[in-house]
Amino acid sequence: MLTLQIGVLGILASIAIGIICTMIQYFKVPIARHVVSVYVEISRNTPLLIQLFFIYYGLPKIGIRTNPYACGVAGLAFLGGSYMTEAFRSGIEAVDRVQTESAASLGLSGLQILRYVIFPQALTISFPAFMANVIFLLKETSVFSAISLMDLMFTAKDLIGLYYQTTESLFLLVVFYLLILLPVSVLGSFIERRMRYAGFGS
Amino acid sequence: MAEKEMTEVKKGAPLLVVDHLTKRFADLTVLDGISLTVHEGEVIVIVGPSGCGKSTFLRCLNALEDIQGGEILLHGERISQNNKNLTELRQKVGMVFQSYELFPHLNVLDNILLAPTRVQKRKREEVKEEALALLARIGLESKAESFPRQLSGGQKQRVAIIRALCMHPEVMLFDEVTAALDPEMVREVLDVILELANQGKTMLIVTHEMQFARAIADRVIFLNEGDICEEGPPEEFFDHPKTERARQFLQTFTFSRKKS
Amino acid sequence: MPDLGLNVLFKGKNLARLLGGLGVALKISLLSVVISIVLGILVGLLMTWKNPISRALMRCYLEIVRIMPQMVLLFLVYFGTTRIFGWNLSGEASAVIVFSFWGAAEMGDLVRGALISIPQHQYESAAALGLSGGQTYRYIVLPQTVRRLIPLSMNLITRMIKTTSLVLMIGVVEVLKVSQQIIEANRMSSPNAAFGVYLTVFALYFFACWPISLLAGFLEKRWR
Repeated sequence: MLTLQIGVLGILASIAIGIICTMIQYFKVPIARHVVSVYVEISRNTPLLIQLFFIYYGLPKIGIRTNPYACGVAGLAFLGGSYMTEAFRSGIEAVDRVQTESAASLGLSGLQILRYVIFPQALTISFPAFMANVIFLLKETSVFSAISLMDLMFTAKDLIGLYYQTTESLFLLVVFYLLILLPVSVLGSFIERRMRYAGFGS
Repeated sequence: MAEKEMTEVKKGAPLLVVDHLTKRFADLTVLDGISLTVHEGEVIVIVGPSGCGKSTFLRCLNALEDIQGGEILLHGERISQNNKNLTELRQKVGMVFQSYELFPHLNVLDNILLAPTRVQKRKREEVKEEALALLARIGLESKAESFPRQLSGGQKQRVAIIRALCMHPEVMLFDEVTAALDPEMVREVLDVILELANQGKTMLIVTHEMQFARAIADRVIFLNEGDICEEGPPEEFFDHPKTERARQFLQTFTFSRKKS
Repeated sequence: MPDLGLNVLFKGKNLARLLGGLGVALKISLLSVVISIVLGILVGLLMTWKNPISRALMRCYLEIVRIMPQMVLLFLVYFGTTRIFGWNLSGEASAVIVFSFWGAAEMGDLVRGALISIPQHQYESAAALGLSGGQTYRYIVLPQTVRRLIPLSMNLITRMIKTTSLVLMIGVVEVLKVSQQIIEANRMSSPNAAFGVYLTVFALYFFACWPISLLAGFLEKRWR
């Protein structure tokens, strides 16, 4: 269950990072937007495992201590934040620029346009990408075993080492991930379909 | 200016004054020092070949474009992108776009109510009553709960007009509002605009519908290469264009075939 | 200045060994990508096939691959095959099998997406011009599909390169394994090696993937 806990916390943190970064890019905040794009490039072009190794083994050497749990959440948030940023950004970009203009011509302010016109549309558009990210991040939690977490993978590896009942423990592992990921996947496509019918779709 | 005043048919108080407006995109000058005074209750139709800057001109009037020279004054207050009161000024200038731009995630009523309730902070019930009355005028009261995707192009465009009207703007801008419509839907939209003209709304209309322009305009502006090339009452412009360029332009709307 | 452990890199052949580790990772991903592209085109065509059975099968295949973490698949193939079939697959072979299995499904979905994104009108207007079915594919459909496909498959390549970091878990000596060895060997002389070495690995992966991502983004914009 530790996997799930880290997964959920990490994903919530990624959503928060994603929203903040998207806002920075949308409002073209000077300097901060460059920091955001550098962050997105770095985080998207390096593997989670390396990020975790760096946070867990590397950072303590220069005086930044972490525990495996915090390290897992931080690593997942670092990786997921950039993926969420990309998902939200593409959603916002998909909303036609004339929509902004027509809202502006009605006298809406920048924040009002974002809140009442752009955001609701971008949310629906980016939902599939968002859901794919959630599943992707949950899958990535399987990587945590590498940094000595009492995690699903780790338990299985332990069992392999202890009893050499590989088949059983591998089977359990598969079942466990299916138990976690299948409902998420099914729920995702269900909500997606609902949104398409109830919302506007094409 | 004195010469222009003489050609004007209606003479309310000056409402919108454009003075030597210049707009450039990088090196390309799109509007080259345009001056124009719009009086209260006046209907001005802007025509011209594509690329002459008509749409850009309208967009400048709503500060959707930044301008490189001159100024635009509404009741003496400057319209520009750096004006602190920009959103208040925009409320006084309504705009309707070629591509309707209804908000797809809101139904017809919410599309209309969004700006009056959020921007002007008016009571929802009060605006709703007004919106429904206006929808009834154009025969769309049954569509109040529909979403934009369920409407035809002509219906969407009429809703977009109502949406702009509910902000009680002092000037309405129409940017080729029938250009994306099927021919049989053009009429229903133009009829709504005609009715607004009869009610004395001040309007600037960019259109390619010459018949309509002739019927509705108090004054026709012929824009060519970023400047006003010719202006006058519609009968004069359409029947006796003064410039060669305007004659050429008007000829593109007439057809003839040599039959032996 | 505090010891950041970067000096370890310049000791002996350490940097060369790290690069060699990256080479192993790149070799695995390149091999898997080539196999994935070939199989992926097949899978993609099967996915657009009108036959409901092949479609359902492909759908299941894609869902399984999407849902199972690559890590779990690696364990399944590496340990599972030994237990169940008694095969003794090397770590690298298992990695290539898993990555190809995964890549073919993802690639297939990309091919499917690219194929169905070509509007029916394109086929119709080609037919109206008198082009045969083969000619339509050769001159109309294929060029458009490839343009859509190339940037997307490049993104898949970077994902594979990144995922190769996992193969250390099944005993392949790649970048991470090498860096662990280096850190272990220099434990006494350079206690802070972990920071410097992992930072370097971080940078190595970044500079392996970043140019590909940039190129993919560039092509995507240009060909839109």
